[in-house]
Parts: sequence; structure tokens; C-alpha cells
Amino acid sequence: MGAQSKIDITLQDQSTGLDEVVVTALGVKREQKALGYAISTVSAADIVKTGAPNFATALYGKMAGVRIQAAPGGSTSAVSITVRGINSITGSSQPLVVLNGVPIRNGGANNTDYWSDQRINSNGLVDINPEDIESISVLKGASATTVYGHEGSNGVVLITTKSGKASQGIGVDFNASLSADYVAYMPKYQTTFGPGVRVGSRGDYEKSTGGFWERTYNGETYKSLRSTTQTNGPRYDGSDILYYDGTVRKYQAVSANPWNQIFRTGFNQTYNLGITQGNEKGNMRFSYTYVNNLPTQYNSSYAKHNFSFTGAYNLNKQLKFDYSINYILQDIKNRPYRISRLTNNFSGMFNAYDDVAWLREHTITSLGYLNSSNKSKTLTPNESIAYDIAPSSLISEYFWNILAKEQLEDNNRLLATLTPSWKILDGLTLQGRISTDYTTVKTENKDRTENSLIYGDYTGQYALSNSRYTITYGDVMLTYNKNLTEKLALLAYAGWSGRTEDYYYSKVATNGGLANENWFNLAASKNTASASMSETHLLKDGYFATASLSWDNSLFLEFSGRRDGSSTVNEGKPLYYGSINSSFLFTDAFRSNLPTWYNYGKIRASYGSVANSPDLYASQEAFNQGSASGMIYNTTQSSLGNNKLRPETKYELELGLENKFFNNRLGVEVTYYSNRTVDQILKQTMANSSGATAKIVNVGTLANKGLEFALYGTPYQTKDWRVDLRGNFAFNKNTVKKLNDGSDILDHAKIDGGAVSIESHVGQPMGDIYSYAPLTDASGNPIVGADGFYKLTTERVKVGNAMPKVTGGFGASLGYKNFNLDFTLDFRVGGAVLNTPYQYLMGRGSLVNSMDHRDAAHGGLTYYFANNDGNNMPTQGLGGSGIYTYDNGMILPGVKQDGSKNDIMIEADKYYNWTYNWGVGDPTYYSHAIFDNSYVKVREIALSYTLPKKLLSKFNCRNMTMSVYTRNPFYIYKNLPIFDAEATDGTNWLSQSSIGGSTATTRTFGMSLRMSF
Amino acid sequence: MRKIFSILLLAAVVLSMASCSKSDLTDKYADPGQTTQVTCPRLMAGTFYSGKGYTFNSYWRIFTWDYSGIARYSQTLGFLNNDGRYTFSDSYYGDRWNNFYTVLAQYRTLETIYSKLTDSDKSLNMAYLLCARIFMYDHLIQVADCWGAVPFSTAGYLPATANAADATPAYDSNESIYESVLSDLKAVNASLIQVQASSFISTITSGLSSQDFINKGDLTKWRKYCNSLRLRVATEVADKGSLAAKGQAAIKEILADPTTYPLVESNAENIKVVPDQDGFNYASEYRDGWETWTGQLNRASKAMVDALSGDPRIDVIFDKNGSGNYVGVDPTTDFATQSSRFDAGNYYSSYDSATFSRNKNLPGIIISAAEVAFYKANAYNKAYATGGDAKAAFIKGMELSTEFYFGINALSSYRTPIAAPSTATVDAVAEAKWNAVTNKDEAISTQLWLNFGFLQTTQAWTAVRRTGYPVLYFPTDNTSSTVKDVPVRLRYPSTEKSYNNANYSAYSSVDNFTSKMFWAK
Repeated sequence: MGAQSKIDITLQDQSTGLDEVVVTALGVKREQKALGYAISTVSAADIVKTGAPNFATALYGKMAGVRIQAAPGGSTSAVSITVRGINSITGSSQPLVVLNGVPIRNGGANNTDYWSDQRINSNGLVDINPEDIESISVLKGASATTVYGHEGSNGVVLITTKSGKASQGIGVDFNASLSADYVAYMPKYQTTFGPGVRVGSRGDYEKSTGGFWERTYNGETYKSLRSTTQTNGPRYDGSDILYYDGTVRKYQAVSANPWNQIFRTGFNQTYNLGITQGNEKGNMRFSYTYVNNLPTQYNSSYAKHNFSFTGAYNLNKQLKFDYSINYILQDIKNRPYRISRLTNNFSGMFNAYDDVAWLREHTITSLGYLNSSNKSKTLTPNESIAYDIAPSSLISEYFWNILAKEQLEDNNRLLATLTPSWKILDGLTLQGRISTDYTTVKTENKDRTENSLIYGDYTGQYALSNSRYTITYGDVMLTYNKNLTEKLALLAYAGWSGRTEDYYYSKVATNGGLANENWFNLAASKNTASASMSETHLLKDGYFATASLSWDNSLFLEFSGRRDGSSTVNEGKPLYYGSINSSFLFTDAFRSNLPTWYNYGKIRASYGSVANSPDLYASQEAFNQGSASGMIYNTTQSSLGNNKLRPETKYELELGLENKFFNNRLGVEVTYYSNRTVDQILKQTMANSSGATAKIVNVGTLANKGLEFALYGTPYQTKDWRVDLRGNFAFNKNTVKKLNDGSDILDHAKIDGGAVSIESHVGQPMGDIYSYAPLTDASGNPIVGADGFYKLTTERVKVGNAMPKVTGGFGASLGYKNFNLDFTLDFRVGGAVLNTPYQYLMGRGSLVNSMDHRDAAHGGLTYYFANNDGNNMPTQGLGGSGIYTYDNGMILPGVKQDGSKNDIMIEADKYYNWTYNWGVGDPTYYSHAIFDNSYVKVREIALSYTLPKKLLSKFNCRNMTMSVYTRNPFYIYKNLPIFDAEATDGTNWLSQSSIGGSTATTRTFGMSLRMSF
Repeated sequence: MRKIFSILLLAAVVLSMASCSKSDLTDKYADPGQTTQVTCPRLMAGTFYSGKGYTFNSYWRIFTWDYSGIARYSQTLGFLNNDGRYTFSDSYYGDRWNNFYTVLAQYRTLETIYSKLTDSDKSLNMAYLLCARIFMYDHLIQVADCWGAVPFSTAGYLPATANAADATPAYDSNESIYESVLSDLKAVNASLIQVQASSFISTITSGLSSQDFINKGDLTKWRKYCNSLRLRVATEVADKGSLAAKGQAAIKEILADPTTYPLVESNAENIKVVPDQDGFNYASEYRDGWETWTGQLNRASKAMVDALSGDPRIDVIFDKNGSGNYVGVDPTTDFATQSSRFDAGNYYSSYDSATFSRNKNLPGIIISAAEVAFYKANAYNKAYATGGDAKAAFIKGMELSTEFYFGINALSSYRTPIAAPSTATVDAVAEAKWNAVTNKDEAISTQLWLNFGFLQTTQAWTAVRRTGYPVLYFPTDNTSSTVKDVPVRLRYPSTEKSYNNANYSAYSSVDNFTSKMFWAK
């Protein structure tokens, strides 16, 4: 009975799945079944379900082989998309983003170090409004992207925006979404011990008091604490101590989670109004979206207005105009500052003892100056901090930068496209496209004066920068679509596309401080104001052609070719790419031989070439010019250009199988690919005695191969219930086949004075992470030296590799009557990251993670120092009369050099402090701060309720859905300690391979209302 | 059918009109922020600009090169006997090496551009080539002094030629470098005489003066730089080794004919670079080089304080300690005692804040008149030249050095300058120093080293290695596995071993910190 009813309902469902139409390269719509290559598609509903700040973050775990990584920081932070692993060793790995057939500005956002850029920047794709998107397709393989030539090797993301096409008459949509961001997944601090040096280096007063420190303040002597970021001091005991606010406080931890005082709760609002109209003359859609965020960072704000106007107008039966205008206005006050001064710099490392809220409130004095403990050089000595605080950078470099420096960004972007098409004959269409992507950014920096000019130092700065980025794109394309015979059909198109990109940037700034306090104008410059500019120009064009033949609607064969020209290649030397692909619907061809539940079966194969062009101006051989003291000078390039540089070329073979079963209630797709990218552009290091440090050359080869699985289905469905499941996972194996001539190793980065290096080796995946590590004996036991610490390797050894091995996601949708529960998780297996804040903070002893053996309650052993001299090795047992006893002894697991089990005791605080330190030098090592960054994360959960149609019709309302949702609510599994698995920023793999103090990650809760009239 | 044909034709026309020509693409290939057009004057300025970090007293040079290595090895700065006190980071000394090859690359490019000029253009541009060559030789000798054999005759060509063979230059022996510089500086002087005699001399000097940061277009000063540098090199090799005869002959030649070989004779003629608060400026940052890290980098050495006993220069070279005395760090004191004195903050004297660290007009000294005077004293003392008196030259050197240091002190606005002593006072001090030792070489060499002091640590290190004076005590560091004793040369940067291995291998056996230079005592 139950089975019977199920079948009845499914018969009328999903019957259209077979003829699914998808957008392919150059905006050409094709039937899914005709494609000889893999394509992944996500539709509008999945993008806006949980109010994701941009479309890319809505793609997490939804497409096989497409890995998303969003930088922390919310709406203004860049998102990287990696399709099928990394195809370029040093070049861009970001896909081309195409909006309604036109490539748009995206770009990367990578910082090299704290000093060069202290804020987390954006990239172009995050500007695109998720509310306006109809669908997103990702073209992955070389055959799918051949017609994009040397922009296609990292895949292509095709975005199609909503139109009024489907609507009859006037339709109105209104959506509102409210959410709150809570800082989450940040380090947790121990609340057992306060500040102080390790027991072995305490002075006499500290020894006698268990670690306290004596201070004189305003002529009186107090018990207090040392100003140190090490937390090996006395146990919190509630006794009276002099705190740095100048008061006597009870000695207890202020907070185990001081990050809640560094940041605040963020609040986001999004409102969208869409109006559509359609009739026989055409259709149009207007949409306005307003986004307002209160970021988690203090003293910052974000507002965005997005206007979208798209439509189509049919002049007559032959002539048609499609148009699309998108205008985006953003006001950004203070993009997120990196927290690296607090996590990667000893003088900024606070702990549970620090009253972060008090410090935040006392960073700026009542006169508006930077506060400090210096009482002589201030007009407000009463407000000064009582004594030097250990985390001094928290005030001087973090809170001051946030609270007293303003970066005001005014960002305007216009994307406009006009697409005329002329249906010349039946089956023959000529289409043109002209578009612009125009961005202007005005940025003002106002850094307050730090102290009164009375003291003769000029501080503060004013800077104004303006930039303009223009992309002008045009293409023409002739399409011929004809059934040649009853069974043989041809679809062919050929055309030309061209694009210019022009960028201008100029900046003027005061120099040497502000001559008048807080006068934010160039006129206030103490020294001659500084000015700088840059400009870049890019031109690309190409001819392309594709011919697809189909036989009986079940066998398809396609050829594509592209001839490319680019200004990044010397003398515009043309380059050629081509591909072939085929698909075969065996279920149609052998219909009668197959069971009826086998609804759809297709195999496909493709082979193609595509490329990645050199970075702008990377290859040019030229001279630098500058002027100094009135002399004009030229110097040679230290890293030499190479006028013979070519794009990196990728060759890819792809095979796939697509199936649908049981009246399309189960779908399975499998894809195998194998590619090789040759002519990798690398900087070949030179001996300086040659006169240059490096030369850019085409030399390396990189290969990727992998398997992608996608599974979707509706395992359970009744009148009231419906369960939809979808899952995907992708294996990717990356191998470096060749590097520089005569060298099997390429250094990407050396970190912390060479303590860690990131290298690529021939025969291995890119991005091996090397560091010094404990020496082990033949059976893998670590070897302990006479000092009780691990003996270390004399060379760096491989500890991990930065490339993830498997990525994927799983989604479920559970519907009951008008209720729907959606759930998405995504996962990653493998891919190491270096967690430097963990290394440093463990060495401070301030984390809950560094409590083992710190006292008897945590497994510490009892010992004393002979003569109370902390330079002696600890002696197990009680000290006896006049000798202090400690309870933080530990014996490292391992063997001594003679092979016997280690029994040498060391102090736990010394162990943490010495082994988790900065730089190279026995016994410090970093291998215990390099983690496999595997995780399984619940990305989003949404519960929605759709009001009954019957009720709504009374209000002339077609649809009304209310939902509550959460993003990033929790991890099912996470291997990386103290941070979110995605706490890195930057859009290239190298930036993403080390956690280095980006900004806070968050957990979001929100609700939304969607109405259609 | 005709319709289709005409449409296809139209499409073809549209396509061909739309497409970009090769010249459109070529036009945008070049970075608008760079140029492919360079000239000799601008490459000469580029040569100077590239070497400014080791010509001026830059923060970077003081911290990495002087403080971490050379000023210790020459004891022109006090340092504590901590573990690893003689170790010197590859990345620090490698930077000095790299900087020379950057200078050389600019010079090679200038040479290449010059060689392609017409003969008449060559005569107009020759001065740029010669001035850049003198500057490059100055830096070459500093590098050869520290490392011995270094790549030179085939080095620095890659940017100019883009020829793969130039990526791995061969090493020139230490001897051949000094030998070729000695003979070529003579030729440079002769060529400069020729330039001065040119009928276009006013055109040449007006062009030169606008690009010459060092001598502002004064060709006579360039000749003085050239000959004084040659005298320096000749003095270095004259005492021992295969070039002794050539060195002595050059000294004799230079001192015998001051008209042909003018030297830097007065402080007004000193070859130097002056901070000018503009592009070549280091005026505002070197204070940090000496005074940050709570004043750790500016302590006096006992050797310098001793050498300055009874010498009025001590008042402008060092600040008194907290008790009003001049106390330098004594290398014979054990580390624990040193470090507690050091931590007290006011036990050891520091370099004079007014003369040095807070003096925004502190010049970067290239060659001083005092240095030349001491070379003359050395030459007469050892009878390498005749026609002069060693003691008189020595006293002249003391006068010039005293005038020089008080002169720098007077440039400072940090506090009221100290009045310079009278010539009679200085002469008396000089007389006493001369008479205090029987071996006059010790008096001359100690004063030469003292005059270089902390402003020219690299020269001070060369001088003390060559002469053995003053006798400096360096306690052995047994904690170090690599550098137990004070180095007498530097190791080659690791980039040479990695990327120029075939040529490096020829010298890998002497690539340590202990192989003496052929000219060293």
C-alpha cells in the first residue's frame, strides 16, 4: 500500500531531468546530455538559503572537485575557488569568473607579511550579489574551457543572473535576512597560572612567594606580577595584588576567552526587492539589495547598495537585445585588521590574566592620544597605565590601529552588458556582446596624532588613494544550428572576443607625521608629501570555433579551437589550443535492452589543451628608474624578465559516467581526469655574482589526476514527506614532474629564520612542509638527550604536505508538509598547515592546551632543585627544609641515547617554553605545530516554513517562506588546534598553508523572510 | 544561398575589423613603470645608488654587517663574550656580497651601453664610465678583502647580456684582483686627465655634476679618489706576498708625482657622501641602528678606549659612563661579569650620541685625508717611498683625524659642539704616541685603525689583519662548533654553493673562517 502510493507520486516528479539545460562556455546553452565533459551547477535556491555573504561561500561542499576557501572577516574578505587542485606552481590558481557571458574582474588577495599589508582584502567575485544569481556552473576540464584559451586552465565559473523571462505580468519578490556573528574557534586560555617566568629562572622573591613579583608604585611596595607574556607565574589564589590599572585587585583570571573582548558580536542585515515583468515584447527585472553589516571588529562598518537591471527586448522576430546593468556601491570603514600582532608577536600575546576590556577602553586617553605607562611624556599622567604591561602591542599596535586609525573606503562598481542578436535565418544567429566592468575606489586613511606636539614628535598620517579599474570586453559570434538529416544535427559557432583591462592607482600621503594634530589633509604634512602611482594595461583577444555533431540525439561529438593573442606575451605571439570531446547516451541507444528503472546513462570522454598566461609584466626585460637627491638613476632588474616567456599549457584527459535510476530518484556521476601542465613559469634562482637574483623561465611540469563522485537522490517521498540527499567527493593527486633544470627542489618560503620551509620536490605533490623534528631510533621512538629534551634532526625533514587529498560535501533536505530542514556539511582530508600562533602561544604557557604536567593535578611530578638553583637538573622528590618543592616535573616519552627508556626529568614549563619557541635552535622545533588540516564541518543548517498557498492567496501573495539558519555552527571533526580550519587568508595555496593571524572566525545565526507577489 | 554568403562575408569583415593587430598587443607588453631606454649618466647614478647601503651609515649596515660581525672582528665596538659571539649569519654577510654584485651589474650594464656608443659619444660619456668604475673598484676591494678570491672578471654580466653562460661566473684569485685594480686605477687616472683636457670639458662636467652624488662633478676630486684608492690597495699588498714589489712600486710612483697623482690631502677634500634629507638619505634612521635594543649596539671597546688615552678625540668619539669615566668592554672579563655590567646600562661607555647616532649630518666616509696621511707615514717608515718624513706624516694624520672627528661633532645639533683642541695640543699628543713605541709601524697602524673606527669598520678590519696592530685579544668560544676563534675571512654565501657550484668548488677547500689572506700578517 505504502509502496504503491510512493510510485504514483514520483511518476509526476522530476520528469524534466533528462533534458536539463545548462550554460556552457561563452554563455551557450546546451542540453546536459550533449556535453562530453564535466560541469557542475548550483541553482538560485541553494545560494541564498542561509544568507551567505557572497555566492562563493554558498558553494561550499556543493560541487565535486571545487574547493572553496573564504578568508575570515565577513563580507569584505576574499574567497578563493580551487578547481581540481593547483595547476600552476607559482602563478594564479583562481578560475576565470564569467558573468552573463562576460569575464569580470576577480583577482587574488594575498599578503606577503604583516608589514606590507595589515588588512584583509577582497577580491572581485565577492561583489556579485547572491540574490541576483539564477545559477552558477563550473567548467572544470581543459576541454570545457578550451575556448577561453590562456585564461581557462584554472577552470571557469559561469554566473547567470536572474531575469524576468519566466514571469507573466508583474512579479514582486521581497527578501529580508538578519543574522548575528559570534566570534568562534579562537584559542582558549588556561586560568590556573598567571604571568611569571618558569620556576627555574625565578629570582629570590619569586621563589619565596611562589612566583609573585614585588613592585613599588606611588612610593608604596606591593605584591604584584611580572610584566611577562609567559604564564608560568603563581597559581591564581585570590590574594591582593597591584594590577596594571593602578588598583589592588584579587589575583584571579579575568577571562578564559579574552577574544570576546577583542571583538564584538557582529550583526548583518540584507534586504532585497525584485520586480519582474514579462510579455511578448520581452522581459525585465529590477532588483535592489541593501546590505548593512556591523563587523565583529570594533570601530568598523560596512554598507552595500546593489542595483541590478536586466532584461531582454525583442525588436522583431529577428532582432533581440539583452541587457544587464549592475551597479554596486560599497562603503567600508576599516576592513578587518590582521590579528598577527596578537598571535605571532610576543609583545602582543595576552592571556587570561589580562583585562582586555580595560585595555581597550584605556587605549585612547581623554585627550585622544595613545596611552602608555610613560607618565612623563603625557598630558594626562593620571590616566597612564600603572606599569609596563606585557602585551604592549595589544594597545600600541592593535587597539590603537583599530580605534584611532580609520580607513574609509568608497567603492563603486558598474557592470554593464549589451547583447544584440540577429536571427538571420532559421538556425543561423549572429550575436554580439559589449560590456564594461568599471570599478573606482577612493580610500582615505586618517591616523590620529599619537601624542601632543608639545613633545616635538610628529605622528599620525593622512593618505588619499584613488584607483580605477576598467575592463572593456567585446565579442561577436555566429551560431549555426541545423538538423542536417533526420538523425544528424549540427551546432557550430565561431567568433572573436577581445578584452582590455586598464588600471590606474595613485596615492598621496603626508610624510613625517601631521604638523597639526589630527588635521587630515595633505597640507598638514610635516615633510614634503609623498606621492606614488601605478598603472597597468592588458589586452587579450582570440578567435574561437566549436562544432558539435549529434547522431540520433544520443551520440555527440564536438571539436573546439582557439587562437589566442595576449599583451603579456612578447610581440603578441599567437598561441593555439584545441579540444575534442564526445558523449554517448547508451540508455537511449540501447533502450530496449535495458531495464526501465535505468532512466539515463551516458559516458563521455574529452581531451583538450588550455593555458595560464604569464602575470602582467612578469616577462618584460627592462630597467627600473627612480630619482634620489635630484639624480636620476636606472638600475637593472634584480629578478630578470624573459621576453621569450610563454603561457603555461595544460593538457587534460577526462572520462565520465553519468547515470540516473528509478525514475530519476537516484543520480550517480563519476569523472576521472588526468592532466599535465607544462612550461610552468618559475623564477630560476641565480647566484648573485651573475648580477641578478633570479630569472623567470618556462621550465616546470605539474600533473594532477583525480576522481570525482557526485551522488544525489530522493530516497524517501510521500505526500507529506520528502528526503533529498546529495553528496560529492573528489580525490586529487598532485605531482611535480619537473622543476628547474638541474634542480629537483624549489623553495617557496622560509619561515621564522629557516625553522620551517615550504618546498616542492620532483616526484612529490607541491608544497611539502619541512621542519626540524625530534630524532627517532629505528623503531620510531624519539631520542632524548642528556638534558632530558628531544635530540633534533640536523636538517629539516618533511613533516607534511599542503595539498588536500580529498574534498567534498554532503547535503540533506528533509521536508514535511510545509516545513523544510536543510543541512550541508563539507570536509577535507589531508593538507598540512603550519600553525605558528600555536607554536608561540604554547611556549607562553597560556593556552589550556599547555596544561599537561604543569601541576600535580595535570600529571606533574614532584621535584626540587639542589640548592634551590634553577640551573640544576630537577631531582625527583620533596626538597626538605628550606628547599622549594615543585610539582611540574615531566619525563618525555622516548628513549635515551643508549636505547633505554627515558627517565630524565625536566620541568614542564621549561619544556613548553623551550621547545615551542621562535626560530632555529635546539631544543626548539616546529614539527609539533604542523597539522594535518582535515576536517568535517557542518557548514549550514536552515529550517524553513512555507505558508500555505490557500492562506497566501488572500493577500495576493504567491509564496512566503520564513526560515532560521546557522552557518559554521560546529565541527564534527577538526584536527587543527586553537583555530578554525579555515583561519588562513589569501587566495593562493602558499598563503593558505600557514595560519598566521588573520582575523577572527565566526559562527552565524540568522533568520530570513522570502515573499513573492 | 546568396544571402547566406553575403552574411558570412559580413561576419568575416566584422571579425577582421574587431581583431587586435600585433602592434596593439606589442604596445601593451611593456610595463609603463619601467623603461628600456637607459643612458650612461643614469647608469652611473644607478651604480652609486645601488651601493648606497654600504656607503652610508645605514641602519641595516650597522645592525647586520658592523654590529653582528665586522665591528666585533675589528674591535671597533665593544661586545660581550656570550656563546656564539663570532658567528655571523649567512643572510647578513650574504647581503654585503649581494650588494657588491648589484653594484657590479649596474657597472657592467653601463660598460655594455658605453661600448655601443659612437666614438664621439664615447668621449662625452667616458667620465661616467670612469667614475662608476672607481666606485665599483672601491667596493670590489672591500669584498676581496673579506672573502679573498671572488667572481669578478666574468661576473655581473647576466642583466646586460641575458647570456646563460654568464649565470655562473668564474672566481678570480685574490692576487689577480688587486693586481688588475692596481694597474687599471692608474689607467683610470690617465683617462681622467684626458677627459679634463677635452675641448668639451664644460659640457662634460655640467652633465656630470647633475648626476654625481659623490663628488658633484669635480673631476679632480675623482682623480684624488682614484689615486687614494690605489694607494690604499698598494699599501695593502706591499708588505708581503707576490704583489709586494708591485705594491711598493705603485706607492713610490704615486707619492713621487703629486701633480699626476693628486691625493686626498685635506679634510675639505675627503671623499664622502652626505645625507641630504632626500633620496640618498640615511639621516633619520641610523639612530635606531645604534640605540635600539636599549643601547646594546653602541658600546665602546676597551681597545679603542685604550688607544684614545690622553687623546682629545675621546671626548667626541665616546660618551662617558655613569661615573664620568671612559670604560670600554674588556674581552678578558668573563661573560657573567660583563653581562651584569652591561645590564646596569651605565657601566660601559657608548659611542658619542652627538657625533654619531643623533647626528643627522653624519657623513658616509669613503676616503679621508687622515687615512692617506697614515699611508704616507707607512710608506716613508718602510722606505717604500722617499722624499717625506714618516713622523711628520704621522703627526699630519693625527691633526687631520682630530680635525675630522671634531668637525663631525660640530655638524650635530643634538648638543653644543665641543671645541676642537689647538694644533699644538694635537701635535703634543701625536709626539707622545709616536715616542711611546719603538716599532713605529705600531703607532702608525694603530692610528690608522683608530681613524677608521666605527665609521669604516670594514677598512679597520682589513688594517688590523694586515698590520697586526693594535694587538687585539679575542677569547676562544668553545661553545661554537663552527666559529671558535675570531674569523680572518668570511665564508662564501650559500647561494654560491647552490647556484654557482662548479666555480665555487675551485675554492671550497679554503671556504672557512680561518684561511688567512695572502697579505695578512
